[in-house]
Amino acid sequence: MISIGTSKGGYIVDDQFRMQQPGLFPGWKVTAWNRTRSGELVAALASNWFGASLQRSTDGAVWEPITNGPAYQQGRELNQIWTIAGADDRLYAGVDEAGLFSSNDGGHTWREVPALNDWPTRDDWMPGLGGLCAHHVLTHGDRVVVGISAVGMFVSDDAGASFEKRDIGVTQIGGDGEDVEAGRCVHSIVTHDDDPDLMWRQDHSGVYRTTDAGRSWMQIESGLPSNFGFPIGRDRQSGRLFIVPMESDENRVSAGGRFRVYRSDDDGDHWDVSGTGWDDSPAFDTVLRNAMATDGDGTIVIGTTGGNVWTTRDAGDSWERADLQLPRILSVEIL
Amino acid sequence: MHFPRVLAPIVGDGLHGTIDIDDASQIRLGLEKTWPGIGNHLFDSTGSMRPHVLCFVDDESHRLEDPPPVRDGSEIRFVQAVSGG
Repeated sequence: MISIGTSKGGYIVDDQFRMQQPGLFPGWKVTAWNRTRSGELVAALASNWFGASLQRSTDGAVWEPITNGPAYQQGRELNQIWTIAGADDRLYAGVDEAGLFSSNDGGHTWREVPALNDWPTRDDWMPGLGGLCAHHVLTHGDRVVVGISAVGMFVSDDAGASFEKRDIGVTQIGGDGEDVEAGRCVHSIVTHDDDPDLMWRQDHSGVYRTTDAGRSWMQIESGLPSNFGFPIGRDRQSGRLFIVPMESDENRVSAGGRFRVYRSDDDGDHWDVSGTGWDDSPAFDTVLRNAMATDGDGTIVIGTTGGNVWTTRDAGDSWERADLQLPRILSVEIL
Repeated sequence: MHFPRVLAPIVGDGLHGTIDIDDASQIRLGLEKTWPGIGNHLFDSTGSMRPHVLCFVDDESHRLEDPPPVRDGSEIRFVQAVSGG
């Protein structure tokens, strides 16, 4: 099943994009999805009026609230749950205001991760346009990688007991020229499935690769029409990388007025338009950071801010647009 | 207690119900006991009502900062403000 979260509810479709559950959670933004090891679905809801919380379901049709979900003690607001990560009973939730929560019981109860939430420079962190948010959490064994805007990337190798900030080589955003620890505006992160030290990053300042778990980064932008974008994904089977360049930071529309996904077949050394199937008519659609999903086996699904859904089933050799027109798409998962 | 339709995922499709409390100071406790998790959606982390949520106690606007004047059978209605989105 494919779960699509929008600014106006959640939508679940089958692998042929036939609607299974239209308009779940009317009036709510649906910002993240996951499936726990027990098979239970988890969805994150957010509202400008009523805050954020989690829901769970065994079948995608009947949902119930998770009543002991992520919640700050006095002092910080939980505005949105950006991501729910983890494949076993231990789950992580990255949230706005920026912070990390964990669950050891498949998402039923949650608690703060103090090693990140009480980071010494936390008071100096500044939001990006999308808020001060922990939007990506990647796990591999005891490794936990957290991307926070507009702060940077944090890595733990002890299941969140301690973290290091790893942004050396990434251009600082904003400020008065003084180098500060925060100010690295990571937009999206993806890791190699078998080598967790090999990672790629779509940042506000460009596209980067690290081979040493983020201790050093190098820019990899050959062939790109623009180095600005939000999502980055990787197909496990082919090893191909995918990004969606925008015109620029100042003009966040499709680069060149044509909607195109770009692909790299060589770990980011070079990029080119991914395959065929693209519409030549003018298009100014964009893709948000959590609206690209891969199944690892050649299928990639991308949801756009214009409510379009694009998919490839051959690791980017050919693309087609699904016969769907949804609200602004915030999150996509293949579950 | 009456809730706006948008809160159906939290309180159920009925959108209303009853809390049984001894006095008005227990309203929040009664809400949370009857609909676990509802407090996070109505109040912020400081305990204040969320800025774009309205509350009417027997048709009088109230922020629930102090216990409101309630009686047996009082109706408390939460409303999603026009502001906020």
